[in-house]
Amino acid sequence: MCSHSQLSISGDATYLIAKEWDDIFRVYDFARPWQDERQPFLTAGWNVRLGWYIPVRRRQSLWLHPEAGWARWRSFSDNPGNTLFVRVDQFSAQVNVNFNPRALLRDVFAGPLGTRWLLQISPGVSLWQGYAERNEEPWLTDAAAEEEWRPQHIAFFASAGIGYRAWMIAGWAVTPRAGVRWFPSVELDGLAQTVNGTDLFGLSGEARHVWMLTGGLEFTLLFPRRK
Amino acid sequence: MNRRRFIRNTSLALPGWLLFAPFMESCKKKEWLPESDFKGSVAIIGAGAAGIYAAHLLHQRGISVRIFEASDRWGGRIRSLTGFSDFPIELGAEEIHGSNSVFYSLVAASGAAFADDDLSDYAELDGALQSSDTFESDPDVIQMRGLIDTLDEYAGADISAQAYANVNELPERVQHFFNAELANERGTSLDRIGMAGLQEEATLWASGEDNFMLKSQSVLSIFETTFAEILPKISLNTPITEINWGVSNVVLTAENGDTFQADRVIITSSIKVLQDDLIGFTPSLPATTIQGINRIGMDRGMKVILKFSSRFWPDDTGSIFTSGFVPEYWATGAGGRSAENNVLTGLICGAKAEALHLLDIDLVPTLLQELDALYDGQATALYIDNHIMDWGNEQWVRGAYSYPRPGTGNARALLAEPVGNKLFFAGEATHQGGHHASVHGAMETGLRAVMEVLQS
Repeated sequence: MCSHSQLSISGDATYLIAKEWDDIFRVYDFARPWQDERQPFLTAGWNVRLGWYIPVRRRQSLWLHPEAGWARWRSFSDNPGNTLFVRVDQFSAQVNVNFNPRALLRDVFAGPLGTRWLLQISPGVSLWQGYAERNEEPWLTDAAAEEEWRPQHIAFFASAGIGYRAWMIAGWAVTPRAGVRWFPSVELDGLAQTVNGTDLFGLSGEARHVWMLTGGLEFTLLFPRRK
Repeated sequence: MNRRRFIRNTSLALPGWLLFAPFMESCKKKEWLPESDFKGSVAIIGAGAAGIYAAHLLHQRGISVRIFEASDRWGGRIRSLTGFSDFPIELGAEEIHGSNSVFYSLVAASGAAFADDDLSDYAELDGALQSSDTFESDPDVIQMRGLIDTLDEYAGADISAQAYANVNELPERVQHFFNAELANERGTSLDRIGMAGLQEEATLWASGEDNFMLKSQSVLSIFETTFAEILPKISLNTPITEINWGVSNVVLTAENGDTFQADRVIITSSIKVLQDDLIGFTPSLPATTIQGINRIGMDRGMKVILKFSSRFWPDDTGSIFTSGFVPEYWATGAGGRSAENNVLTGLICGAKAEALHLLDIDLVPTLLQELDALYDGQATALYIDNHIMDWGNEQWVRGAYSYPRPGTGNARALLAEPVGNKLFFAGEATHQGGHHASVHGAMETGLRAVMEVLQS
């Protein structure tokens, strides 16, 4: 079975490293030692992606793989009379270059998606959006206008990853995949004030050198090749 | 590795990966930890909200802390009157401004109930009281509201709010209302408060717009419960009158000559105490700190509590704005706080409070006459008792709370700057984020000072 291009769907667990955002939550807890439940960091999240494999040079296992993704991180604490929920969404678009270094040097005649091992590098762009609720009510930046806190920020990123075409299940190639994205800077304007109620402590919603580790499974539908 | 083994290993690793992020998060340090590891002793001047909260945070980190309070009671401008009515009456801080603050969190954690806030305001216009249902459609009130609601957009010169009202030709008939909402509530008068400071407050305010009042507990009782382990660390009746910070350990000298030493000192005294040089510093404070101290306003402020045999104001009454000596009264027992709801609290700040202090008049009959004019003579007839709390007469407070004068500018930032890595100023007047003149603002400055001390 061969193919021209293939649809891919993937789901990942993610781990976000944004030191400045962690500090905002650390100070929130430090300031409220009487609260039993801590405010979790915005670190453990999930990510789903939809992509399309486009062969460039199949004999060298070289593919372009545009993907659109949605990732979400949540932080929720429930203390008496005082709940705080913070959510961050990330919508991303990236173009992966999938390749196998060895295959680049010599032709291969591997499966429909090239060699089993693959490396990915990609530039991408992402839209970040924050949202918060306090005591189960949306947090407002302007109460009179009922304007919710929903800061948005566009950030470019670079990513790299590795995968292995491990299984074929009912026409789907299943690929365990792990990767990392690096964002030079991501700003959620007002995050410090939204969480801590003030910007008195020199904390900033701008996180520099944000890293996002991802790992999960990619399912690639192998369309039969048209003759 | 062959394919079969890879697949087997991957199958085993997958659940592990799904747990990876939560596991990694559990490994992260949870505490806010400064880079330095300060383990010295800290002296705190003043046992108000900022001082007690700062002491609590330091104590939790195992740092030796002692609070020196000049007066015979702790709490600063948090003080309650009990036994006057069937609920505690706040003589100082009363409202919780916004739900996004450490103070709100503290109150919420205590389980204290809040009073209902489904109340109406009444304002004196043209000699008679009007309910909010009526006055909110008054064109002059609409103009006044417009000026208040657009404070964050103000970009003009740092003139007084009175000058701003005049420039905008705000009619005289609502200027007392404007004064109550904009100046008196902030501890002063229209002609003394600066527009740049009001603009800054409106822009930076981030704790939320809702206000809350405790239903049956006093603010002090919540501090007493939460910070119980700190209270034994307070030395009452110990005014510190001299601070020598030019030596390796800071030496504090009390009024009676006793001396104490500490590695760091957090000074939470009111801005008026600093302005009046009740504490001497050796060597002198930096010029920038002194500038900061002198450019912040703080006026006389008083609360007048009037008790009546029965309620003569409508049951839904929240605030009452008058053109007399008292810019604003509120029905203190409203919202389910009192079964009788027969107490009014009046707040008088700034020029009016100073006039009342200087004038040789019997205050209560004067105020009752003013209320009589609004309520058909019922105030005098039903009057029982009063309690007057004049914060200007408190030797170690000397006023209501800080406010921005025209020209205050960055004074709060100058004052909040640590001095010699040994002196750290806190208290509501040092709040640079728009939350001065509030308990949560004072607490936030206590937290800021603690963070500075721990990083010093």
